[in-house]
Amino acid sequence: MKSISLILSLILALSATSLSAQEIDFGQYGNYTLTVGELSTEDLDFGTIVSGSGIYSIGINNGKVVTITGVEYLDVIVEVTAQSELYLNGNPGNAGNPQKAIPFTLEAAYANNVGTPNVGQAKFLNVSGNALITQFPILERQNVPPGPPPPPPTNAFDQSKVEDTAYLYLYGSINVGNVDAGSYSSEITVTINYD
Amino acid sequence: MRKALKDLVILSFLSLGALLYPLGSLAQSDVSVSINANIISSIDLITIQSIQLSKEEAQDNIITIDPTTSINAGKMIAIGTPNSDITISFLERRELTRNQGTESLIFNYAVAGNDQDDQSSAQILDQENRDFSFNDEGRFYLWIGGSIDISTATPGNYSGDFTLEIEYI
Repeated sequence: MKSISLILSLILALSATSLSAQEIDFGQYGNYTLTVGELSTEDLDFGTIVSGSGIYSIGINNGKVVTITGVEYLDVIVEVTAQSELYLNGNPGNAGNPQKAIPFTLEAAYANNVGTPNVGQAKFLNVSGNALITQFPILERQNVPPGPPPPPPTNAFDQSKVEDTAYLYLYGSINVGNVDAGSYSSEITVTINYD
Repeated sequence: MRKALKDLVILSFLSLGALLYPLGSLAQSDVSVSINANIISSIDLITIQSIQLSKEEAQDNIITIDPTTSINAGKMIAIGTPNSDITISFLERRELTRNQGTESLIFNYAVAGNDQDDQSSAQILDQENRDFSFNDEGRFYLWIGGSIDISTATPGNYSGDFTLEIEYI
């Protein structure tokens, strides 16, 4: 009798799991590699600006491009977080100090079109509070009916045959008030996982 | 029957275990992007002394004020971002017009600069020598002189502009 109760509990637990998970995360069931790189090694550099001169923007065409290379039919979850200010000498201790910190507003987009991703095909992302979490396939779905689930990888699996690259564009603007002269900097952190 | 139930329980546990643990490793990649801006101060120019032409003696109808030696040279201080590189340019030939008439004279400016407040060691600015730096306190000193030929000048008061431009480089 005790065993029957245990079985019923298990069945209930399994049912609960299946009700809350309507999505299969194929990326979790294989040794897929994911490579993140930068199209150029240059920073998101606003250059030399005179103190008190207001808003300066770097547009998508001149922004930082992060490359995401992985299995083309899998989704990636991209998490981007930027500090809300650039700090004098990069010192976070200057946060909130109107003379030693410059407000920064992050903007972002991605391109996962067929062929080399380009700005013209970019899809703009909603950034709230200088942070975003989004999900997209490495290669955008084509206008065809969905195919069968991908076969599980085996020893014969060659990722290079199903690999593609998506671009993540990071750009934005700063508002230069009457701040002290000097070098200002901060960081944008990008974390990418397979779904 | 009891054994069959026990086997079913074990099988169920195994199935649950398989659902809870992914079959492969989860790939994650991180990248950090730096954001930079170099902020400089605006440049202020303060005139300490105007050129004192009338106090200088003419020699052969030419008044000359040496910007590195004459006490009648004009003096200006530029204030900007400490230790920043700057380039200085100015119009060498400027027209002075008689205040009560239309006659004019050409004044040929000469400028010397120094990051120290020392006129005698200031360097003459020319096409090959016009890149300097603000000192630790964000100051750069300028002395303004020049020469003017007054052999054909109508007596009177003359005035004109002097244009000097300082840019960060």
